[in-house]
Amino acid sequence: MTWRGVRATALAVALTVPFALPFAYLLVRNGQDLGGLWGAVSDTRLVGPLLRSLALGISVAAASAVLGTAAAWLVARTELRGRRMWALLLCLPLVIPSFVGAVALIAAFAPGGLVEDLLGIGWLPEVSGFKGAFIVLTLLTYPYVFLPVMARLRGLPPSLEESARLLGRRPVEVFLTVVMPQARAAIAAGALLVFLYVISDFGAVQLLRYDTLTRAIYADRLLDPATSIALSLVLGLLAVAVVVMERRSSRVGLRNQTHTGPPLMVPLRGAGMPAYLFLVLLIGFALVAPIAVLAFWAIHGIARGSPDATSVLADPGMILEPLLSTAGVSAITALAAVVIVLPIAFRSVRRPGRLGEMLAGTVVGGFALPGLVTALAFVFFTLSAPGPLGALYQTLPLLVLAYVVHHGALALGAAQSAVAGVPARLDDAARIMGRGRLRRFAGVELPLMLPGLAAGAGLVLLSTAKELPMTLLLAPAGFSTLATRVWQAAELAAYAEAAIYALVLVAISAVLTWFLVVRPALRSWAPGPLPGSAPPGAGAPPDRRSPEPTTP
Amino acid sequence: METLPPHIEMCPAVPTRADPRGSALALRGVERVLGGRPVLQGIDLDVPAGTVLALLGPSGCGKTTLLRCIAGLDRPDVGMIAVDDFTVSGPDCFVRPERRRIGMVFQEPALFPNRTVGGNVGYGLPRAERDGPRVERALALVGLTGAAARMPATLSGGPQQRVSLARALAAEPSLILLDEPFSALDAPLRADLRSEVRRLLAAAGATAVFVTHDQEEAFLIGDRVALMLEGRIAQVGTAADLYERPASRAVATFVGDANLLPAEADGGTAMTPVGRVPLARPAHGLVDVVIRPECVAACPGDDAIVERIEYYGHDAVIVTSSRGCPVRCRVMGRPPFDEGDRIGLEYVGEPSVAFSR
Repeated sequence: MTWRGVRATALAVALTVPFALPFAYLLVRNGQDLGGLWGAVSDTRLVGPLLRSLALGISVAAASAVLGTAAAWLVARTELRGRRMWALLLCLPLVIPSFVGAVALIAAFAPGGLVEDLLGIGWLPEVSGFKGAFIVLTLLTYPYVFLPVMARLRGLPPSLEESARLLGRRPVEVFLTVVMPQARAAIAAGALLVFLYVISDFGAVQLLRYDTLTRAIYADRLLDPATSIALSLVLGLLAVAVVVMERRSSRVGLRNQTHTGPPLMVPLRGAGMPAYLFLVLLIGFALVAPIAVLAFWAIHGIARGSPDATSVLADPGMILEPLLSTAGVSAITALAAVVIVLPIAFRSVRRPGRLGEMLAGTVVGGFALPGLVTALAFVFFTLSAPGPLGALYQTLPLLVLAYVVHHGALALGAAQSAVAGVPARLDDAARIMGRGRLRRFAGVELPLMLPGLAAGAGLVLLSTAKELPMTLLLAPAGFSTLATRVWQAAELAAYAEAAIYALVLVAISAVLTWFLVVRPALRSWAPGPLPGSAPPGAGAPPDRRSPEPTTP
Repeated sequence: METLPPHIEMCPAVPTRADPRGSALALRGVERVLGGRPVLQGIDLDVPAGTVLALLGPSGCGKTTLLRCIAGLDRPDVGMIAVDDFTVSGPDCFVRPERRRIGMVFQEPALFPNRTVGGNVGYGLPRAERDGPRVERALALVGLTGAAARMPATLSGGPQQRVSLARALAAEPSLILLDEPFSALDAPLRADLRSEVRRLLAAAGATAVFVTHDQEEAFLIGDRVALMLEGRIAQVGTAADLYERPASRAVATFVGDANLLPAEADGGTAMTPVGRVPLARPAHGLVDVVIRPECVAACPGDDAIVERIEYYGHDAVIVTSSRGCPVRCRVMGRPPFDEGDRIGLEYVGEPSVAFSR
């Protein structure tokens, strides 16, 4: 390795260190206090939350797998009208953070909410607990299955299904014997992402009062930090195991084969009405209902002049301030994330090998660790650290660092594809022409990578804007984002105020999602059912990793 | 036919126009528009039972769309398709692909990756026979005895395509469609499989439509060849018909290497830059005569100048200029001339065809 190579490697390794920090801290802290760890793990107080996390994770993952797969098959493989529109609408619940979904569910059934007021139902069902968390999380996470399965189905050579049909099998049989086995890996990968999302979720379970691991960790953090740290380690190990499994399962796949003409679509015939009804209900409950509930509260609150709503309206700073701090801190985080992961991306792509894989894996590990756990690790680390490190507690730099550690993987994926997209030969060519390393980077590589890096930064921006538990734990006193405002208002049952902040947040999230996730996906979506006009190879499936789960 | 095919309940037997009885496959006036572009226009075609029709054409001429219409994977906008004298696609009837009893081999093997080779071959058989002797027989036919338990991914391209063929043959379909099945294979493998498929289809007595853009392949495999150009059938006939008696200028230039030499015809012959050429069809006045390079021989003389020699090893093409008109002349081995030499040219072929200018 040349001296320059050594330097590049050293830089990449050094930049990877912060990503390993939270998990390493949890290991060390628990290792120092094995008795406390054993006490917490053997305690019955662990078993309950752990079982509840697993139960919620498994049931939501299963339900999402069913809903997401059914929707993906309908959109990708049947004679559905307006498939582009359906595909778009079915992705959109991604823009609603889980705590906003939970607020919407609670507010809908709260006294004075949409259900009581509009429908005139006097008896309001209890929505908290498992039931509510299950409903909210399933409706918000099925896109994590829908997207990869749809990409997989669209990538499947149509000749497989056509062969099966020509060999005399009915569409249902073909689905069960040919399509399902091929889509299984994608479904499993999607379901694992959902499982990870659910066990990492803090906002929805906290608001809906379902005692999972995250809720126990949050509750114990002040009075019983030892238990909190032990439970964090358990949750962290679980999450990392899930991510390892997910990466294994998503690697399995059949290479795409040449498409010739339009794939054979399954006629809906008599099943048309139920199919459309299913999609309408799914989108209705997952997307329209939460927004309608929030809009109802916001409008009613303003119309009736409820104190919380009017106070928000009276002072423009009430909205502007969290809006600006959300935008500012997210933008800084996005920029920092790209700058930090770029050397790691270069090292792992240009010199593929075990070290590169380890570095990239560490960054992904930072993403796997639930945001709440990452934030807690930073809290305890800075509080127990001596001297200048301790002063970092509840400062913006630490908050941004924690954000970067948690969301950096999103930027890394984009940066890796950006680096891979620049042929190394270009660098060689520039080098032969006598350009120095920095000038080569600035003049040749950076301009080519910019769109990819911007997309990565955008994903980080989007996830940071929706982030809740890390902000709650690490934000400086007096610093609030839209997410924390929604949270505080919801805890006070000030639903009108919560709704206003939530709608602003969802609107920002929707705009960002449109530019970063939906538009690129639609661009790669060949002109659908109109055959003949599809250029070969244009049907590249939307990048299934782009909308990553974000700890809400 | 002893037992009616299953699609009879779907679709009444409609006698097709112009008496295609005896044809295993008949198409009448089939048209298809895709993305605003007419891809198929007025296709009429008959394939007698037990014969192989090679459907030849450049890429984008609509041959794959035609095949998909026959299979039921696509539906013509206009026209009628009959298989074994039963209409499978017409103005008010459309038999779904799974009920047509048509076998198809795609460009890629399209094997189900989650099933064994035997599982693939048996996929189209009745449940009881899915791992019985019929599967073994079909595999033996394509030379893959004993491969039933292997997974498709463990086979290379050639054997995979054989399995695909066995899968199509195993169900004993009334018609087999092959859509450029060798286009993804290496040249030597192609040549092997080509002659083997020819033998297999003959042995099975199968009726088949074989799509290809390779003229050699079409001539080798097809009992008859249908040339398709820009969505229309330009000519149907034996390979010799297409090569020696092309129906149009376009056919003449697409099939093989051709000189189109200006000439003046006077009925049975035409006076060309290479001398007098007999005509298969009488013509008069100014015409272009189709003259294959191998039908021109060099002889002593000074009518033509050698401009270039394309040496291929087993043969060579002498590019000459005869009375200001380029003439290509094919000779075996290496020609004893150099560029700039003056030679004479004479016509040595069968009666040719002429198109008026």
